[in-house]
Amino acid sequence: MKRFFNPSVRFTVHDADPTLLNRIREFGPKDIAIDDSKISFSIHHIHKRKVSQIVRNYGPEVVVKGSILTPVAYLYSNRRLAALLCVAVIVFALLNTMVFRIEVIGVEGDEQNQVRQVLDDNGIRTLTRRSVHRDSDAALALMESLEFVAHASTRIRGNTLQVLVHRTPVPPPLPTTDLVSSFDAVVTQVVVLSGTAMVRVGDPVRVGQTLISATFQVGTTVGPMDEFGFFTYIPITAPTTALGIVQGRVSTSLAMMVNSPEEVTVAEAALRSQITGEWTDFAAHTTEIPGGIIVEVVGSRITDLVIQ
Amino acid sequence: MQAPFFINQTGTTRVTVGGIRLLLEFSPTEVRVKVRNKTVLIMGENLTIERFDANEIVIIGKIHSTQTE
Repeated sequence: MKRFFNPSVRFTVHDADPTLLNRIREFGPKDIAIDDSKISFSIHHIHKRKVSQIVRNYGPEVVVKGSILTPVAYLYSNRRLAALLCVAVIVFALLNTMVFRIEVIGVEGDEQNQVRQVLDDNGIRTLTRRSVHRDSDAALALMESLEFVAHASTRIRGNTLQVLVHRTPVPPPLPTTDLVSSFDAVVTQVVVLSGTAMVRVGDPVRVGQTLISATFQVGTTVGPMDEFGFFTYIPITAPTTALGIVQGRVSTSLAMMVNSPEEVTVAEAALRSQITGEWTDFAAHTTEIPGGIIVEVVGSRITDLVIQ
Repeated sequence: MQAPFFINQTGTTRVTVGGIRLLLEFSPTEVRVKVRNKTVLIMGENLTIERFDANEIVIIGKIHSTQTE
């Protein structure tokens, strides 16, 4: 055992005077061998540095070989350091199995505090062993306890427990405003997806008039009696989102007065050329009045009445 | 060919050992020399090597004793 922990260092000095051994005799060299060209000796490793400084002044070439077990031998000869090292290794190994920090990723502020509270209620705390977190149902508890958590998972990175939280996507609130007409038009089509239709096909509408109301009827209640003695019924409505398609025919017109029927055709052509834009249907009307004829040209098209 | 083993002590100041194989230990108070199947132990004070080659070693100093183990 003692040989196994041999704490010696072997020096080989080439082309040196053997009397150099006198300089290092106080360091107790052992196993000294000499031949024509070199001197070899072993010395305790604690004298390695001092002996190196001395022998380098004697020989141009010095080879120092330490035992591969020199560090072990050093510890063997320094029991206090070895014990300290062992304690440090044990403490490090114990600390390496602990969780010092819990990091919540994916939510901020109050929601993060709620997540931490649920974790704490389920025994997920700092300064606990990592194996506790590896087998815990913390992620499941988060999904069951908090509505805003769609999915949660945990992972351990070093001494940090990372809790990954994916929030439940919140749809943007739908508008609860009525759909109103952007044109003066005659309604040609009404398709209600949500809400209550306030116009029918054929109704003339004005700009700003409600086409689809953002309410729907959920029931009725009895109101006061009418003049015939019957009870009236008042609808009970609830707010909703007005969705639908309302199309109508919008038109524009130009008119001018001519003196004779022969000028009507020329006037129609002139008016029609003055009507610019995406008008698809044209119609001409004439009205005789005292002193002349009024020629009117109307351009129209069918379009969506609601411009979002 | 290695020189034959011999020990030659001159007074109390000089010891010559021939036919050595290895200088086992060397310190100011003790020199241990391996010769064939024996070990020569030289004890004294302020021991130094005057000459050392492949055949023999000359130790000088205040020699207390020289013994063969």
